[in-house]
Amino acid sequence: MTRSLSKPIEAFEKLTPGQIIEKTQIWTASQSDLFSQLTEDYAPVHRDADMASNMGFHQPILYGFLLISGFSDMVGCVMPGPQSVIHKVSFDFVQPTLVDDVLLYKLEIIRLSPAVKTVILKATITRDNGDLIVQGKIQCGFPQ
Amino acid sequence: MMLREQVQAIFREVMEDEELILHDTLTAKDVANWNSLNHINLILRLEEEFGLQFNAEEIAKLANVGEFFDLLREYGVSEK
Repeated sequence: MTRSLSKPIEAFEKLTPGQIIEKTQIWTASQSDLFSQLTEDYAPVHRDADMASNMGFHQPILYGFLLISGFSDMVGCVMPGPQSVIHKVSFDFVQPTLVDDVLLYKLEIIRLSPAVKTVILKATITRDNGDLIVQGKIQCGFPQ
Repeated sequence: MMLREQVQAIFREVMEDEELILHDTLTAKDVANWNSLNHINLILRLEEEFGLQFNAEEIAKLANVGEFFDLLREYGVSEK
């Protein structure tokens, strides 16, 4: 797993629209196994090649909730950072992805509301070939 | 659309209550889904709808729906 994150943002006032952070991440088979144990999600499309094939995938696909968990350290530790909490998330899973795919995670501030100290981030995951995998929004607030 | 109808549509969307009728003395205590998160979502939707940015002090002072309308008028919001 490769990471490329910056220093944490410590206050709402330090945020500006257009700020971006990115990281590269590769989810491994052992991480996927660990996720299935932690969540007790043993859905065969993530674990069984024949079942995945019957559903139109050439191999088991990565758990969607594992995939989006890659935003957790970005949001919690960098931007908006440790002074913020999540309010709301929404994601579109545009394409399936597989273990060992090289993924680029990107967060961009698209809106700030000083009145309620809330930030809305555009969130995307793309494969290293440029394919869009996930797009969505994350809303976070700074408790007052 | 009248301003009251426009704002009411936003309240209904955020509070997920298609029956909600706004009146000036309505407060968060009167609406089941008007919790702290939906209050934030309401402010965000109003800012988005009317293209303005409130400040924290004026939001904190709002006591009821009537004062929401007063604030919108102070910002020069008019009917569509």
